[in-house]
Amino acid sequence: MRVDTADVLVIGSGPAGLTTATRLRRLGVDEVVVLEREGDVGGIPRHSAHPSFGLRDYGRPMTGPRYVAALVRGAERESVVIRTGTTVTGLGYTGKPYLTTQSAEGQTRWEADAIVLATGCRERPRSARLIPGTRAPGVFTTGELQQFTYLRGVKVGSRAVVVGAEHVSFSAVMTLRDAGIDCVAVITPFSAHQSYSPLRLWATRFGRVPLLTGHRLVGIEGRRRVDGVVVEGPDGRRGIDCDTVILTGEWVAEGSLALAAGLRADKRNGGRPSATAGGTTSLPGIYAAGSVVKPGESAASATRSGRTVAEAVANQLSRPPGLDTTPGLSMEWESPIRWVSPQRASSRRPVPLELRVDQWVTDSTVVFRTDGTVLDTVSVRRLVPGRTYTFDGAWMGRVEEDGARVQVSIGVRS
Amino acid sequence: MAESEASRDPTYDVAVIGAGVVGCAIARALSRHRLRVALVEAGNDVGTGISKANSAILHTGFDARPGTLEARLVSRGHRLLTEYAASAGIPMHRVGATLVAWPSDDGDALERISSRAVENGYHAAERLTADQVYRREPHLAPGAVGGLAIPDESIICPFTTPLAFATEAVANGTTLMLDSPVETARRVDRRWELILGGTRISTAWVINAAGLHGDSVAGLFGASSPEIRPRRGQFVVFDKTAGGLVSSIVLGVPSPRSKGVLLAPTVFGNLLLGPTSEDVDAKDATETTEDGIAHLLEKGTALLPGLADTEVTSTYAGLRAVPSTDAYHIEVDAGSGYGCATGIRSTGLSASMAIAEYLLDQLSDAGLALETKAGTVPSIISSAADSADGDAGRVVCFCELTTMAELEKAAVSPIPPRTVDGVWRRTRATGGRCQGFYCRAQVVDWLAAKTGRTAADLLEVGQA
Repeated sequence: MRVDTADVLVIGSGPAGLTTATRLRRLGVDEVVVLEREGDVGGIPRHSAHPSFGLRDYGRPMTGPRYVAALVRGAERESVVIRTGTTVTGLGYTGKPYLTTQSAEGQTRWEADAIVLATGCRERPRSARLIPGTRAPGVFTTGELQQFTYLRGVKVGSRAVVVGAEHVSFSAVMTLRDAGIDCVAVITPFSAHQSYSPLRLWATRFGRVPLLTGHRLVGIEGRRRVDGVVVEGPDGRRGIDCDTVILTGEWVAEGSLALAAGLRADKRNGGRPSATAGGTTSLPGIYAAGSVVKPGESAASATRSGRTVAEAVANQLSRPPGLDTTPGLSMEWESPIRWVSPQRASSRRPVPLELRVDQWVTDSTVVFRTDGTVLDTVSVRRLVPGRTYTFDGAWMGRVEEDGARVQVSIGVRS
Repeated sequence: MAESEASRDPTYDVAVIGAGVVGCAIARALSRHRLRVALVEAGNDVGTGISKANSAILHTGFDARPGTLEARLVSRGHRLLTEYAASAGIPMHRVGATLVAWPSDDGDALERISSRAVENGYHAAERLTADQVYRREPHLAPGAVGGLAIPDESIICPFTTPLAFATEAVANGTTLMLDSPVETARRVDRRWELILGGTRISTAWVINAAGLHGDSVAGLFGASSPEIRPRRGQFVVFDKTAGGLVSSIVLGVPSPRSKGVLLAPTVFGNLLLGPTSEDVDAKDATETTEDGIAHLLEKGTALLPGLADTEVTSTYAGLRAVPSTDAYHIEVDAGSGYGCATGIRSTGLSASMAIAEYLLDQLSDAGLALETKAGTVPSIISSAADSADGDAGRVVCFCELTTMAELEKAAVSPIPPRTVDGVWRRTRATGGRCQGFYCRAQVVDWLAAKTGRTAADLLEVGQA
């Protein structure tokens, strides 16, 4: 096995990875290498052709590929090294963070002062959603649909049902239109869609694509190819003829490496690593940034996370070795909260806390407790699944003891 | 491919109908003799029927009904396939089984199963105390009262096994005919003339190994057969993070109808839970159901609480071919040049090689000359990448870490994949935790280039 080194290795070249690497170079770190397992740079925006990127970072709407191109130009200006076609197969810490890669050149073992996991997220597939039925071809995630449509020009079917009604679901509807595939329905188990109304209206051509709320997908039919689905709604079950099913959203972290490395991670969320706002994980020298920590977040949020983590990494690299900066608060949460970020924080440096839910929450409170003591209570009118909400974290400063566990829960508003 | 098939001499000594694990094992055994053999399959690949969706276990036969042909052939088949798997490179692990007794089971169950094992000639089973059960399987739910260790029960790759048999058969001259359902059969001058998906062949013998369709295929040849009914088994495959939750195959006390729900590691590192046992009407009812999956998840988490927070990687359903006689139906009739190996309910994978051996003995007794052929080659199936040249070392499937070398190797094998599922069964690509989010489009591209088919065609667009 070949051996190689870098000051910082970044795993993943999506918005978070490229931003982390570029910022690290600007902060004076010499050798920053980005490892990308796909053949091309860019991650998920690469196959998203809608102009939903760039507003916050570049001040104008850009398609995914253009947005990626801008990030790559930034990285190249800072002499970031990007290795595509390079899959990280192992990750760990033995006195120093290390990883192993497999590429066309064979296997390599890399050592670095710091490794940043920026492996992103993906949509939960059909099997993990426990959707029953046949295994006929014709079931795709939005990611797959977009890869076939925009990167290959392949029309994957003719009549599609879109499952889910969050932002990405309407992006799937627009992709279907671009591909010349009829979208016969958008279905969601919730009582309303979870996106912004203008986007929903534009995508569904002002309602011409029916949005079936309160409908659950309960079966996929067809032998050689999907020929229909069964949905269950308020009026019972019925069939919808279609040859294509697009499963959208339900983002989970692409955290396989975090799990393999034994990082403290959330198995139910694809191995989402437990991290601080600065990206520190449970292993020294290993950081996490972007949507692997906050699955489903926008590219703009991922780049923000990349900048924050880059600063934390650069800061840590400039300190004398051995200084333990492991912070003391760890967050716990329960349903309907899907995730909380950061999962660890310091009472000496309160930071805002973000969370997502997986059920609609209305007229409730978000309660922060430690050992039964209420630290803070925030009234919320509604929390929509698939969107991220930010809460002030000043209460962190009121936790006296390091090592404390903080429970975040949703309560009924009295 | 169609052209080369048409130009082949359509005259055979034996045509084996059905390229499931049993038919492939028979074709392999025949291919070692000086015979012209055809292996005929209605589907588009070997092992696509009931052989692709089972519990992937190589049974010892410890719990078979003593004295039956099935008991004898499973036991013999276990020995033969254990040896063959090692030489051919079929992924297999001798993880052993832990049969666990719970308070609800009848108190004599373990004693009864132990003595049945001995009756079946299996002497390595050992009684376990509750403590010993938990030492072997610490993640099991509390409450087990005792158990039985069956150290030779093994897990095996259900896809590679028929493929290895068929690959060896083809390498030794067998003609594999895919997409070739038997349309008509006619007795002409003491030979059979068959029309298979439009192609005519002539053969001295036919062997019916048509699995679920064993009864209707028998009918085409005027042979009698027990009725074959489908019994569905649904399975849930858990993420590899759950792989460590069991170290052996965990069985319950069987009922007369089924061996019950089991938990097993898989050769790929996942954890398998299943099967259900449901009589269904249609022989293509391989869909999973809400109730089936819910039942398995409830059973699974009751047995192994750690499964509750583990993601599911895949779900599938297979059909057992249950004969009305509830017994193996293996017969040869010299007069009509017809033989069959049907009614192999749920032990086909384990018994396959012994079934082939037994059937060849019967064919020999019926007058088929079995002269060993010189220079036959063994089957070597290996999933390991042996080269890292050019693009070969690049990983295509990030979840299963399948490299381009493995794809290319499958493409140049005697039985290359023709569908995305065929690629999956040979290389694991698209079958991991993301189920193709990252690699399906790329695998489709690659397969389109290899087969000359379009991507839309490979996705079966327009076939609804």
